[in-house]
Amino acid sequence: MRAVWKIPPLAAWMLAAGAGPLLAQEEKAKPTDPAMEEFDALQKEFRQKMRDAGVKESAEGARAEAAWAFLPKFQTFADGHVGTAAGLSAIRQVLGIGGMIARAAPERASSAEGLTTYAEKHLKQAVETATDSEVKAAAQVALADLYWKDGTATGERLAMARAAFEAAIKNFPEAKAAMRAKGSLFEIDHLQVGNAAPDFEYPDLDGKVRKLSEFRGKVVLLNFWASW
Amino acid sequence: MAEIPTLKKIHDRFGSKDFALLGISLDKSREALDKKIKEAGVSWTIGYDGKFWEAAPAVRYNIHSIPSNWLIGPDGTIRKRNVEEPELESVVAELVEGKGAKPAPASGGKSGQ
Repeated sequence: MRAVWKIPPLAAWMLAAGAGPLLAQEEKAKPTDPAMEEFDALQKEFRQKMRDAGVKESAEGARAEAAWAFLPKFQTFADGHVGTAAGLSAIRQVLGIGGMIARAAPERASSAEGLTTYAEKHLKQAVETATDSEVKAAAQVALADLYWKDGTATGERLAMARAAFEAAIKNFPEAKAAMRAKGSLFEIDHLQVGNAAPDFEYPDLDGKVRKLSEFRGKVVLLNFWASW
Repeated sequence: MAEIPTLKKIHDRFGSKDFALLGISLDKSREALDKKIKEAGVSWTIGYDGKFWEAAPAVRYNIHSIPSNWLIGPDGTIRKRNVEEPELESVVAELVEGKGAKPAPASGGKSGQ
């Protein structure tokens, strides 16, 4: 079945094709931010292009081509708005397009890889220059996510991800992005194969509080799901 | 929901002696959950606190997308993460039949994927 996301991670953003991710909305600290309005207009234009491509070809390849063609506009926008919420939103779109290209147009995989390097540079600058602490924190966590690659990073990249998540928590404890960083850091340290499965309590359907650890001695398939 | 028939098959096949299936529902509505359980014939253990994505077990396991399947060994250690539906049954079979086998030590990476 299709996965349902709480908040689309960087790589899945394009699947939502600009469907205003939660984090971006949170970053809109000031609703009248003219840069964000400009970004919204750009995103609207992009969504229209994507719809056009989808209708004409109804193919992932055509959508990827359309996204690729539109990419320089997001990059130009990002370059002009380093260290702002609007700039971060543009970078997320750049990364989302990179993910889409990597999946749909493997011949352009090296270009998609180049976009990761480009985004990394932008995010580092954003962490340094942003004046709004929420934006600074969000940039730091976005950088960590970039290194972490949806939890698939190992070795040096994993160490970089960990350091970036830790920096976000240490430097911006009050920021919303710090909560996400804490969850990711817990996953890195305690939710890997070989770790003791963290225990939790849950009410069963009769409302009786039970614990995961009651199943000790059995193989447990822990399945997170919903009826929707 | 395409996954329920697979879970049902696994639950029927491995029973309850050496194996448990625990479904943590992220539903907000108990009514919708009960309806689904009845319709689909869900007979395994279900946990439900009505807190949507903020359900305590989901927060603990940093769940950002569903479905999400984890396998835990009899010794209480995590054996597999993010198991996809097509390989779910074979992965469970491997663990139940090879019960007691020691996992690889934690690498800090996403090993065993």
